[in-house]
Amino acid sequence: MLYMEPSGLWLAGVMLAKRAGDGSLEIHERRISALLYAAYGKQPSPRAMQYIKRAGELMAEVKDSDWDNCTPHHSNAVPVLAKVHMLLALSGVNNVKVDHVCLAKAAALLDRGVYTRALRKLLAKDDSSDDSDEADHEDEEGEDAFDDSEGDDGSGNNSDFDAKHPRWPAGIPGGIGGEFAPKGSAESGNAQDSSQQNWPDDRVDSSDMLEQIALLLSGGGEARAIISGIRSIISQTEVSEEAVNGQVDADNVGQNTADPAMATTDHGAIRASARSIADTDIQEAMDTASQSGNVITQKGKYGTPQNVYNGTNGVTVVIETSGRNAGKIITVWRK
Amino acid sequence: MTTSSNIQNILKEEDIEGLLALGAPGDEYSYEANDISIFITALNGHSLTEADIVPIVSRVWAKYFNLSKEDLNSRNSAFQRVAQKILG
Repeated sequence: MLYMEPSGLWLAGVMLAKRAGDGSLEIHERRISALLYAAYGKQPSPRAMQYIKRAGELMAEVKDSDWDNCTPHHSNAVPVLAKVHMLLALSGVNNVKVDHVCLAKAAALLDRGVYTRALRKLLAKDDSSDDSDEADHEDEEGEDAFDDSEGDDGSGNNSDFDAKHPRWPAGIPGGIGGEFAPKGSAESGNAQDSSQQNWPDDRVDSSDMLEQIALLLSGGGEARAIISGIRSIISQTEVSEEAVNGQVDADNVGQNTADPAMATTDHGAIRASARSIADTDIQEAMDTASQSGNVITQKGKYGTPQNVYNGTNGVTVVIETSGRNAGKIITVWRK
Repeated sequence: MTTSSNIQNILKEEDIEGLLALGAPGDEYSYEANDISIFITALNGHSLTEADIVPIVSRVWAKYFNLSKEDLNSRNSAFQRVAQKILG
């Protein structure tokens, strides 16, 4: 099940606002809008944008030193880190220098318990000056900013969803599924008096997180390409490979059990599928091309060695033979 | 308005990966064009610059062709030309 978790997007927006450092949220609005569009397949509602802007305003007041008390690492941080990194990358903001330490903290913050506690700290600052009708109003407004999430069945009855993903306490934005507990409604959801409650520590289920990352990456494409993308992104964040493998393999999501000889890039996989070329066609093309000496070894446009197999079955297969795509089919077509 | 079809033509003209030159069909980059189009559509109504579009093309390319940062850098001038053509 896909549910959209605004906290990650919220934080991405916040990070963009914060890291750009030029004080202009306007210039980033359209980019945030673009990334939300990519993730949700629709434009964010005005409420969502208002919410993101508010997050940016809050965040602009936070000094780097305020983050120091946040736990910088958590086992669940790895996929979350990948997600945040991807969101930032998708935003296409050139002048954002991704700070890995900051992202690691962000990842930890996305963990339910730590994130919630950190937000409580931030919001406590606001509450001390004004117990904020405005903030309450914004929470209510934010309530259905993402109300098309699949976590909501559209009927208004989210009981199963709520059971799995408890709501956030009043005054805390970024609740799972875009839901926000109204202030003072201690009987509803998890809303409690912030001075007394035990804050929830239901950590992110990593398979859920992977699913979300995967969907963000691919728009629902093939899992093997998704995992490849996740690994690629994680490697860019300089998280230890061991940690990455431990996290991703444990989830056993979309592992490619196909013959390694049939490994493809996303482009290759899509082209084969769109052109109705099966693995058996590809194998036949490679075999017959090899037997008939119809394999051209050449360098691609950017110097990467490639083999071009012209099979007697009319199928042409292009495979890179070195580099990060070594052994992968980059495209295939039928003459 | 920049459509997926327009972008596909631009990508075809640029043939960033050189696959068309190898004999691949004309729709070789249609999926990439569609993804780029989604982003551009989301930005409609705003004044776009090359700096807005290049990262989008780059991101789409990284995803479809599994490219490293170095790989992307080597294609950057092609991405810039694509962005310029999209801007018309």
